[in-house]
Amino acid sequence: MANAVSTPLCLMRLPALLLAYLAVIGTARAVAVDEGVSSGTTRKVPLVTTVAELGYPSGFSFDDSSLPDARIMVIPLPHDTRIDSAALHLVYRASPLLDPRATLRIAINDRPLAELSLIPDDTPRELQIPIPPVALLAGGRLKVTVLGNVPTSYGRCVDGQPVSGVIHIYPESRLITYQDGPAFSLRDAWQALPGQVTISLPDGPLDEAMFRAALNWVVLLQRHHRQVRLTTLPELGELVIASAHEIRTTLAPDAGKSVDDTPLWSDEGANVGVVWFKGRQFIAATPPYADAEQFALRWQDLVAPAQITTAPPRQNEERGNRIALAALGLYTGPALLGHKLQWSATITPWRLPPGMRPETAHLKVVLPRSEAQQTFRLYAYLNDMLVKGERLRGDGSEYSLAIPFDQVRRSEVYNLRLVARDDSGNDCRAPGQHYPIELSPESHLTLQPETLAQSGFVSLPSVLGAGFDLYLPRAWLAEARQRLPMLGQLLAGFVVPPADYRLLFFDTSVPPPPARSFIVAAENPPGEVDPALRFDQGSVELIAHQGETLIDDRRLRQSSILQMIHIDDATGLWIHPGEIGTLPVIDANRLGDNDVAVYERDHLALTIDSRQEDLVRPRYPEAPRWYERLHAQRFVWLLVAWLVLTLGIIYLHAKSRQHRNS
Amino acid sequence: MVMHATVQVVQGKIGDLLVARGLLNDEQLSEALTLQRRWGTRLGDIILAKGWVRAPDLYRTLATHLNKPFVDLHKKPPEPSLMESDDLIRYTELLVLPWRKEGDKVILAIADPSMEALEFATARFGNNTDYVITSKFDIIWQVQHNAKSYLNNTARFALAEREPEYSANHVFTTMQLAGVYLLLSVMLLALTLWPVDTLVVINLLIALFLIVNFGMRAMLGWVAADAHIDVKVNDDEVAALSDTDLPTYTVLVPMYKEPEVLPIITESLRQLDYPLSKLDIKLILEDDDAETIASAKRLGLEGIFEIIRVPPSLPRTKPKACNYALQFARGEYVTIYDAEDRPEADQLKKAVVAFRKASPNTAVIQARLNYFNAEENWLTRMFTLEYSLWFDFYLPALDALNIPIPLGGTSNHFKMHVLRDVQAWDPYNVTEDADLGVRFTQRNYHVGVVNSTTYEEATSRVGSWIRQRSRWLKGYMQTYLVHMRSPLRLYKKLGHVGFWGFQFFIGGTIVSVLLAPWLFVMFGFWLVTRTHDLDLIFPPLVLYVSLFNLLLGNGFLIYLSSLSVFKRHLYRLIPYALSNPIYWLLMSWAAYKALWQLVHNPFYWEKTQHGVTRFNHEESAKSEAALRQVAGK
Repeated sequence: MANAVSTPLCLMRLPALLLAYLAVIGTARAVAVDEGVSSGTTRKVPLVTTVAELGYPSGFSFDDSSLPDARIMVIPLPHDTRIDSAALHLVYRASPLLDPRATLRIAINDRPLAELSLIPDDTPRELQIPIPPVALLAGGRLKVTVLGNVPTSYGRCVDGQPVSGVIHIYPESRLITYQDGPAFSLRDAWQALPGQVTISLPDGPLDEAMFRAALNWVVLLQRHHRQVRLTTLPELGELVIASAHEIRTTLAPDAGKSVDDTPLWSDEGANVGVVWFKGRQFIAATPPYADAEQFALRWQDLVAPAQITTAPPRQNEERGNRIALAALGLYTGPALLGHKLQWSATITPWRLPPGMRPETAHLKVVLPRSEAQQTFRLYAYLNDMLVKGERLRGDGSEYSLAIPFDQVRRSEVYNLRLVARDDSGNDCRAPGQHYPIELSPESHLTLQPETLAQSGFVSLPSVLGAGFDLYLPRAWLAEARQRLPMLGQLLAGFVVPPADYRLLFFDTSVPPPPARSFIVAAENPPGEVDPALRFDQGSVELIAHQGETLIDDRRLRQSSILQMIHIDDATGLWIHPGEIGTLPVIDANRLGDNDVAVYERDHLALTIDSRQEDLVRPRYPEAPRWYERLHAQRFVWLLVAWLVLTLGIIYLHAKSRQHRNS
Repeated sequence: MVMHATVQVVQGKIGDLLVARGLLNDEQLSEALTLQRRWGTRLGDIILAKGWVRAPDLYRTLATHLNKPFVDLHKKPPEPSLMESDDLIRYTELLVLPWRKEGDKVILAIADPSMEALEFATARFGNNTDYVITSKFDIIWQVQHNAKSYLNNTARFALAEREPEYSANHVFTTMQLAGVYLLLSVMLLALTLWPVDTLVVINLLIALFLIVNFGMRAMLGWVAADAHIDVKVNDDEVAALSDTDLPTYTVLVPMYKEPEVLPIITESLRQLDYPLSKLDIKLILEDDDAETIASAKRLGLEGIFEIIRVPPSLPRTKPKACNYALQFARGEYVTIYDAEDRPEADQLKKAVVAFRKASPNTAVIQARLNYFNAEENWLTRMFTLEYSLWFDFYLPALDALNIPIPLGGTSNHFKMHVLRDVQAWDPYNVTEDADLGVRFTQRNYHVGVVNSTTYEEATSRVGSWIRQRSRWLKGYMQTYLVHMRSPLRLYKKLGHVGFWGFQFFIGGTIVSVLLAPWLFVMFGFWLVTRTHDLDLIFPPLVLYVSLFNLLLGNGFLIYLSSLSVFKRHLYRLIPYALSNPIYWLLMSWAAYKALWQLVHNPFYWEKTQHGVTRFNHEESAKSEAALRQVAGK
């Protein structure tokens, strides 16, 4: 069956591997011990990892016109806890139009485990596949390949309008692993954190160190795509940030009543440890708090080597201002092209030297000489926009393609996708033919310095990459639970590790002027600056081109508003904090190259490019304008104007008489 | 020698005498006699017009013919005390003046012993008179010499003294200044109390004014599309004219420091299809313009050309010079040509026919003006577009609607007695022609337009163009101020169509060119800054009207401008109509210069330098060559 896959598996794996690499951050979740099963004296703790948590929030589908196709999910297994057993629960549905010969094949660690025929009746079904124990090595990874397959049919050569069915894998499909007892390993505990992590903080205002620690944890979690909820002790979340004393006090009332009621600490002397209490575990972070640097390196080490965030290459580490596309995740190497072949790479600021942005992708494609000098078409897409189309001939030549990035709208993240197609209509005249093709490792991306003046959100990673100051009102120490999620999203979205930052709290109504790149949260920006949207001119509203109000003053003041501002030589982000209780979900990718973003409660209401856009603009009904300032002194102006007028008329009269008499 | 209003021929025919003296050959005499039968004028005038015999020789022969002494008035000047200022015009009309007094007898110096001249002498001096023969040029020169001051003062002050309400020598009247003061004061007060509302109202008024202005020009274009509204004279009607019935036609050619174009205009005038002996051509030169005077003398012009030397005085304007020369005019009709003009050959005849066809109250017939160097450069192309629109569309339409026509500076043909009746031109108005058109309309005279064209030289240099246009616009301002001294009177005289037509055609032209740069600047400012500070004073209604003006109004003017050349088939100029906005800005520049001058130097005549085009030089050389050929014969 594997030979029937027209797209070479190794290449097919490339995007899947990339997805898996990203999805690996979705990890197993330890369910409450009550839901576990007992096996003799050892309590079996089930860990559930759903497809949704692996990066497919809506599941995934195979269209039978593109079959065979595969999705690969890599699920890390606990390092320090023995796994008893595991089972894959696949929830799927085959649509009525699906080719009845289509099958779904499941492979674990590249070993085919099951293949099932599909009944195209649109009925959801669940298939439980036990995982062989040999695949469950501690500290290993479970590679799950789901392959949709259908035999090649000549029908499509006859029928010009073939219908297409679909196989849908539901997001609740899951892998359940049963481990022997709780995880006392910090890395296993980290790995076992669920998609939404609750962080428990002490009641009352935090001290600065604790605020910073909490912020670092929030950033770390959000960078790993966990949703964060903050609560106060005594509610225990998956992470507790407090002094050891406070944690013990919290746990003390119930301690000692039973075996389960006695808290078990993995290492009582550590400032970050795992505590097992009442059948559930949590990570306890206590003073002295580890700083961001430690999280970025030490804890990443603890998680698993594959999850270490690689520090971006520094400028000139590569040859000049260029970086190999292979280093950005683009597969470069020989491949076989059947009907279609695809490469892709996601270029984020995290992978580029600070202060640099992509300029042009230079691709080198090698096609070995073929007898028939077969021709191919190569299409390049940048953020799903077709930017290049070339016809290539299999004559042994090396083709060079340049793809300037300025062809598409500026973005923080660029997705470069290359699609090669057989020019001859392979699937009908000579189905099953494969031709070698190679994207040369010389393919590279040239970079250019980021222009910081008048920059938008896309420049923010570059702006902050070399370190920045984070200015927060001191009042936020008492509002940490409401403020931290948003701050965490911001830093996770815009700050490229290991960027260093200083957390500075200010007491005054206006923050001090920053000396370097900054993020400042305040009602009004620091220094002499004229932001696109300001709150020091009385009421303010956003209006559309025709003058109709889009967001009125009340709503604006409740909103969290991000703006790029420039103060002297420093560039940064000004956060106008909304009312307490709003928890905006900040997705940096959605902000694009705009420079103003308005978040109403939990959603992005509006982005504005104030440098160009005129469709939406602020209006300050109470702000004095030039004519209003004139109006304030109108009687003085009247007097002056009247005097000038009178003198002018007298002058005209005198001149007129003079001319007449002369 | 008692004269009883008769002329006694003592010796032979004058033609034979001239031949006998070797001054004329037989062929010339034969041709002159032929022309005399055709033209119905005196043989001497024909010979002088042809330039075959020098004037002193002719008049000496005439003296012999009449057995009278010939007197050279330069050597034996008349007694100034005998000359009456009230009779000066009669002297020049009849070519007679009192020369000497011998006892009780008055001796007259006469160039044309006609019945009218002798009757005038009898009426003025009684029967005890006698006469001597002299040259008509001597009479004209002596009148100029002896009555220089009187004639000059008449030219300068006749209108101001007799009809001061029409004289622009008073730029702003006290009432006008008081009115403006009151209006601006109220506006200032309103701006102080209700600034935004007042600005909106001002804005709205400007927008409405512009839209009506556009509308009026659209209407004029529409009306002018009917080709039958002007006085059409066809070739058959011209051919049907009998030369003997043609009246004497005075042609005034004011010039100042233009020696280079003198040969051109004289050649153009010679080419006129009109009996030369019935042409009374006055080359009006300033007394201190030595180079043009010298050039005129060098050319040795025929007898139809008379040089009128205007004594230096202020205001030094063309209308003053024309007023001065008009006192020497002998024609039934009078027209003005500028030095660089090239009228169509049959224009005078067409004007005569037009006068005969037109209503009796027609005082003036305006010929159309256009440029012979239209395609010299961008400026001349734009100028031609503008002139075509003006004379081929606007003026005929104004004529049809009975709106005062601002006459063109040249090629307007007047009935002499009407012109003199209205005190001729206002010497203080630098667009005396436009002013005269309005005055004619107020006096219920009709101003017509005839289908004949005079080709002029379009100013081809920006500096010169600005000077010329600033003078025109200053003159428009003067005209508007003069006639708006009493708006009610103007309204009663012109009626509502004429009044509002005057407001928008004269006043509107001034206001729109003064406003244009500010509107452009405001639009540019908004375009560059995208400011919303202007939103308050541009509420939707004002905004839409302003947008209409900006896009459709200006677009329509450009469209009309491009259409204007269709009547003359100058299709190659059409694309240039698109550059009208730049041309309008040049006009605005000129308008502000005009406004400055209106206050500081209202009567200053910005001289337009002619004869600077390449085209003109070639033509000038050709004309001079032609003259030399004539002289050689």
